[in-house]
Amino acid sequence: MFLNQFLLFAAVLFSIGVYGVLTRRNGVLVLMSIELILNAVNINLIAFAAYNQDLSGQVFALFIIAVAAAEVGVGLAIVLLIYRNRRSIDITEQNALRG
Amino acid sequence: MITFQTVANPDAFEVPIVEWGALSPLLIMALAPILLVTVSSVVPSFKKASLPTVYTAGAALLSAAVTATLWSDNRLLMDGALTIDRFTLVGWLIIAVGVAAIAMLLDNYIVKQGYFEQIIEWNVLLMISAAGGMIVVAAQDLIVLFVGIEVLSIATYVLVGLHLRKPIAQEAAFKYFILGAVSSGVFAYGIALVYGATGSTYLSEIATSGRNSLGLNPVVDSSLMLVGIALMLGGFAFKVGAAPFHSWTPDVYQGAPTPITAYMASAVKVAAALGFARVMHDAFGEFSVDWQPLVSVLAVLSLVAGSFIGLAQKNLKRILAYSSINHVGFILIAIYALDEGVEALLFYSASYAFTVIGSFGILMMMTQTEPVLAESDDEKMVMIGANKIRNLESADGMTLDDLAGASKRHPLLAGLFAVLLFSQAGVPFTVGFWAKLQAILAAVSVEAYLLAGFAILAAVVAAVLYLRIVVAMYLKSDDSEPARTNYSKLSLIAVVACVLLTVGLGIYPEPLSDLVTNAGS
Amino acid sequence: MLELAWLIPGFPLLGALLNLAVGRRLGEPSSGWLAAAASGASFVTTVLVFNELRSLEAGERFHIEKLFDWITVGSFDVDAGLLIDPLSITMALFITGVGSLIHVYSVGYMHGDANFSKFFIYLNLFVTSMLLLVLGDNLLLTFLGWEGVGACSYLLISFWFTDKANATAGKKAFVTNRVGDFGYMLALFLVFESLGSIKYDDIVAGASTLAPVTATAIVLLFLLAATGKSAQLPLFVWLPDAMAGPTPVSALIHAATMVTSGVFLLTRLNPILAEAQVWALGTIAWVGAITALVAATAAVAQNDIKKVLAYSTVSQLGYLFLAIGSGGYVPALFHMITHAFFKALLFLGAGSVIHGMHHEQDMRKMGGLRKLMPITSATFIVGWLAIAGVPPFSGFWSKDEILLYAYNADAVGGKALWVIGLATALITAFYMTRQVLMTFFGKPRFSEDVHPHESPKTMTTPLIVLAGLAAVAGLLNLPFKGMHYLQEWLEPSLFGNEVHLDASSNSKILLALIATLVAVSAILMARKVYGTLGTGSFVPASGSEDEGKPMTVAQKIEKPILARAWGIDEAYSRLFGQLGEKLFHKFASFDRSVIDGAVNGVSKLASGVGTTLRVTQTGYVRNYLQFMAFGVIALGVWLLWRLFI
Repeated sequence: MFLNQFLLFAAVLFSIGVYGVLTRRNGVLVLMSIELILNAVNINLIAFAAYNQDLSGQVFALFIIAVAAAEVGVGLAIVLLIYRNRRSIDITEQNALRG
Repeated sequence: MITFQTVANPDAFEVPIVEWGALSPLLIMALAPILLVTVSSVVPSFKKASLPTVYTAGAALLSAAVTATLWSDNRLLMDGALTIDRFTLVGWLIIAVGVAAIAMLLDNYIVKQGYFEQIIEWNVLLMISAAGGMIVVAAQDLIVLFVGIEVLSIATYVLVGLHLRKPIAQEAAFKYFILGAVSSGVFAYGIALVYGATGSTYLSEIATSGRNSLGLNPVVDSSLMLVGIALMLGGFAFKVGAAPFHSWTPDVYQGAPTPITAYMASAVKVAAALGFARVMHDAFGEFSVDWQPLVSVLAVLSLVAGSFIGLAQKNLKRILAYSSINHVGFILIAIYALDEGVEALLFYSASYAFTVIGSFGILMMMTQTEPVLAESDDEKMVMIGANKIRNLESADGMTLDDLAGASKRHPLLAGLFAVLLFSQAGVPFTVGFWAKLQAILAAVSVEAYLLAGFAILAAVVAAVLYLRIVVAMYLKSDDSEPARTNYSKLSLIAVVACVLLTVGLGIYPEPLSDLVTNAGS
Repeated sequence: MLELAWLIPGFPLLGALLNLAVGRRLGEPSSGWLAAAASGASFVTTVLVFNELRSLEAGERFHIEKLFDWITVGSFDVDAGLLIDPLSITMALFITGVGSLIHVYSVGYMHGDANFSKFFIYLNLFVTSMLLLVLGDNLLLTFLGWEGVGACSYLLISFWFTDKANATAGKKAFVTNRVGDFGYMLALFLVFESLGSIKYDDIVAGASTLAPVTATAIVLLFLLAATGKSAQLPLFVWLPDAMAGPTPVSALIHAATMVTSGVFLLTRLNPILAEAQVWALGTIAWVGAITALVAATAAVAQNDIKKVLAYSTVSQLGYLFLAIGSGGYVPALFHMITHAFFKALLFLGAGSVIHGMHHEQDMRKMGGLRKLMPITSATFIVGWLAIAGVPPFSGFWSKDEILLYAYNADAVGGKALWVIGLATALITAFYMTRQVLMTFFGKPRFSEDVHPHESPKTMTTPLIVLAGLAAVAGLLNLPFKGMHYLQEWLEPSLFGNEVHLDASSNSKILLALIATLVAVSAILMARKVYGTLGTGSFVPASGSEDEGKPMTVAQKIEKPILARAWGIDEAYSRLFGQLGEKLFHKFASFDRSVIDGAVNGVSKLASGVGTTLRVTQTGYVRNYLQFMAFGVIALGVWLLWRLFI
């Protein structure tokens, strides 16, 4: 296996994630897209760690998994709160603050 | 000097020495909230009156005091993951003192908004977030930096949305969260690429690994590094709110509870800016010719966006939000100047932090109404679930016009506000003047004359931004009576302290400039 | 004694603080006397320092009294220190001296004002800032004073007004001064960048190392700053509007002290001016000359007693710039001092008239006040003779010096400057005579229920003192051998950059004669035109008690002339009045369309840009993400682009 295969894969995953964040209207799907971005990072890190014979990339990946979990927890809580107030999680309705 | 472990020799793992003494300011800030949660759940009476506020402010000030005792330290901690130097310590001091002031502002806010039940949560999250900020300032390792940024941000997302009955706060929290999470992803992607290009996450090793460390095709190798720098730059620019990554700032600042806005504009922004400067300076110093033009462009865009869009605003919180974007422009100028700008960066950050805390604090105290739960035909009514309820925090909707006659309704607060606004405008005899002067001097000393000239012009335009507020308070007469003054004493103390610092250091800035001298590494 | 120099700005500051603390309780007039005492103590200290300085050798008269480390950032190390030298002490002497008199005057003038003590707080703060400006030992301290006097000036302009008129005047003053401040800041950075220091002693030592181009740039930027503060073209427009403030303020700030700070700054920086290319000095001289002429023309068409003096101030300040541009620092300082005396006198006199007339400022509704306000009119007449350049009053000597220097400044177009200066002198004598005649002579034109009265002693005493000074201040620097006191005294501050004229005494006398002739003929012309309104010759209006009395011989003679006199008046008013009026209206419309237009245009442009950019703030997370994505892509593309080229 070559390093660049992993890097390309991660880049594609990252792009899908960004695309998802940009186009999805459903709050939960946006959260999932963010997960894709973070996982793309993880793949990068692990690929580099393996290539460099260095452990810290893998350690970092573990940290990112933990951080992603915390982030999704908070994100879901906020989405829930919005649902409770507005009965909708369409993010395009969230534009009271503008200008 | 720094050893790190590889798969090849797992036996060599040594537990790094933990220097508790040097870490204690950070530990106090991180452990105090845990203690607070524990104690308040065991002893319910702890929620009484201002006790949690006093506890938080006390813990933060203790952290600041311990920071002060470390003053002459300059060393690496935790196997090189953190560093204690003047730069770190000044940053810690700003964050800790800032948290104390914010906690005191929250005292007024929570009671007035009827959130007394949750007073523990507000304070706990505030301290946890601040601990994250302190990690960011001290980090010498990208992993630690990332964790610090996430602790700082995630706690802040929650704080922004913690006003459960205010829908725009949730909208703000949601926007901040989505954009923040994406920017964290971008930032982490950048770290991954830099790690790939250099094989290390330590700033010092990244700096020494040069442009061609992987031994691959040099173009590929450097491009990994450069794209990594670009992504990290984008991530940092988002966190500090520099244009064109600023668009979240006005929305989130407006929607967030005002004391939290003050926190985001001060401690969060300062922590991110210092982390930004540290990484750019320590890790990517060799690439400075590549990224310096970008930082200068970000600075100019921030100066322009901050002052010009600010002029088109009517809402006070948004005006202050745009003004904070303008301030970021000056901070970026100091970052641009590298070594020459370190002192200016710290001076600006410190003076900016307490000026902006004071400003938002006064705005909060001036505009807060009593909670009104009864129905009214006001447009400020909002639907919350099935109930119609009046928007509780009028500060969100305060426009310049609403400020007319404020000098009569709140004579003391209006006077203090004017002083802080003058400081933000950079009027002489206030600390803001010295801060701006130093940032411009830093640009001059690295021969960035265009940037310096731009900064002076932007300062002139931005001065109008602040003058409008003062004019609205004073010149527009209104037959207002003095309002009932039942502000929280603690909040008033915090605000007055900010103003005293602003004026005192404006007349005699040497103490603060002493503090930041020799902060360059 | 020199080490006590900090008391000079210290006393007024203390006065301001005391009044801030207990002023309201002290009430009237004690808080006013407290402020006056603070200013007076400062004056006494200045005199003592002056004596001490005089006892030193000429070469040692450049003393820096360091107060404390002010701010240190890298190589930018500034102390707060006072520079005691002949220049700064001369400025301090007349600032505190005239300032004290105006404080005393204000006790009477502000009688009964609701914010009596607040007025004196501002006044004391102003004196403190002004003293910092002149005594500071570096450009930054001077800048703080510079901004401080500006702030006090806005506060005092708007002292009586909280409505729109003030907002416009204040806005204009603010914006024009901001433009000037911008120049000051840029110049300060340029000095720091090229000399590595902003202390005056380093500037003196290092100025000779400056490249001429750099020095020219610095001088032009400081000139921009000075035109803002000292109300010169094109930034003079704020000063006439500033007359909205109380009259003592106009006298102190907008005539005697603050507006001269631009001239002080250029004098202080004479080593840099000496290094600049000659056209920089030419620019200064021409700005001054043109301002002098334009403002004098505008003064002819004014009917507001204070506006005449305001334009006159702008015009006289033009003389100071003309002098500096011609290399005559001493004449500039000399005229600054005499002008401080006679213009403060004229303003205070005008204030006394306004006070006596119950806040009437229109000269058309005055006349014949000479008998009702004898002290005011007598002192005002002394001021008039001084400004008109009638020997031996002070204005004659100082103005003559300036014209002499202009005449000899061949490098910058001397003779033309001299002609403009002479023309200005002519118009000055004309409009001042007009003012005196309209106000104090002729038949009363105010309505019956106005009873003008002489002002109280607190107001007349300063008038008498100033009148004495305005009469004899010429002694400071007489153009006779061995009597150049001011020149000798200022020598140590000028480092030989002063132009020394070797004009023969014959040509001196000739020029002086021409100037005198011009002044006297202008007075006579004005008397022809406006004097017919006055003295005993005025034809009694029907119904007045004079009617029916036998006409005096003078009246009999002058009655037929009267009709023709008006004809002459028409001619003159075509020549001066209408031309002046036209010019004035030109400039007024320039003021409206260009300056106000610029002010409004800039703010419109700014908010227009803001509104346009604001559209990007849609409120949709999606759009914000797009910005971020484009931003990141742009960053990445830039960095990679650098890699591949």
